[in-house]
Amino acid sequence: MNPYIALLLMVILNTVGQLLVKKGALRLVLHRGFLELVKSSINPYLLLGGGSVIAAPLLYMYALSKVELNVGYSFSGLTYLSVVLSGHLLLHEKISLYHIGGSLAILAGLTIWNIA
Amino acid sequence: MEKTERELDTGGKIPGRTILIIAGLLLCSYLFLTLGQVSAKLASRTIAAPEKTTLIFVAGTYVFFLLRGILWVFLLRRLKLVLAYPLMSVGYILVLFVSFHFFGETLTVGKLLGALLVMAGVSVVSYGEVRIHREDSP
Repeated sequence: MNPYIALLLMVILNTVGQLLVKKGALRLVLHRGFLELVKSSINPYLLLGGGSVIAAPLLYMYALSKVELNVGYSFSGLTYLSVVLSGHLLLHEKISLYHIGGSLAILAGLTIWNIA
Repeated sequence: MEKTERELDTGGKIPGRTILIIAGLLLCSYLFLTLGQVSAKLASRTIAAPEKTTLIFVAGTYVFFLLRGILWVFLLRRLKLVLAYPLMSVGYILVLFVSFHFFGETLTVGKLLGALLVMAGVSVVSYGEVRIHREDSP
């Protein structure tokens, strides 16, 4: 696999993982004892979210076997963009000009980082 | 807008003890970031043909990533979002120096400028988040 594809997949997994864990955590039964808490934690959102969170570092380590550490790490900055974008598109969270301007600055920064 | 107790806590003068705790959390978080990244890079060197040490570095990567995540939760309890994100994004500069120091990767002015631009972007996005949530609250 191309290391850059692996890094992009890692960003997607981290984003999806965050969204799923957020949704899944809302389903936790907190005040009816430990057993109910464990039972409620076995829900599809948390399981899939947990799976993504565990898989992402493996993709990262694979990618690092082919690219420099600083290049690989810079891709984690894309997570900010994808979290803002997916939060807006999927969860209908409000965004402002600050979100758009900031995201463009992050994108510009990452581009300069990787071509300089 | 009424101020909550927590906002009063950190909004006015921050007590010295709290600053020490926040500084400690931040330093540990930078340390775990460094250890996690070094560990991931070391693991990647032998991940195609795993040896005994590969497993140690893979496990180390997961442990340091997890520890950093836990510290992040504690940090968010004591620090406002608009400060927490920019402070964490110092990690981009840190990783540039770590890659240069431990693995001899190239460190250029352009890369540092890029990292600074990323940090600025992260700050602006988190400022936007705070503004939106301020409008939402009564």
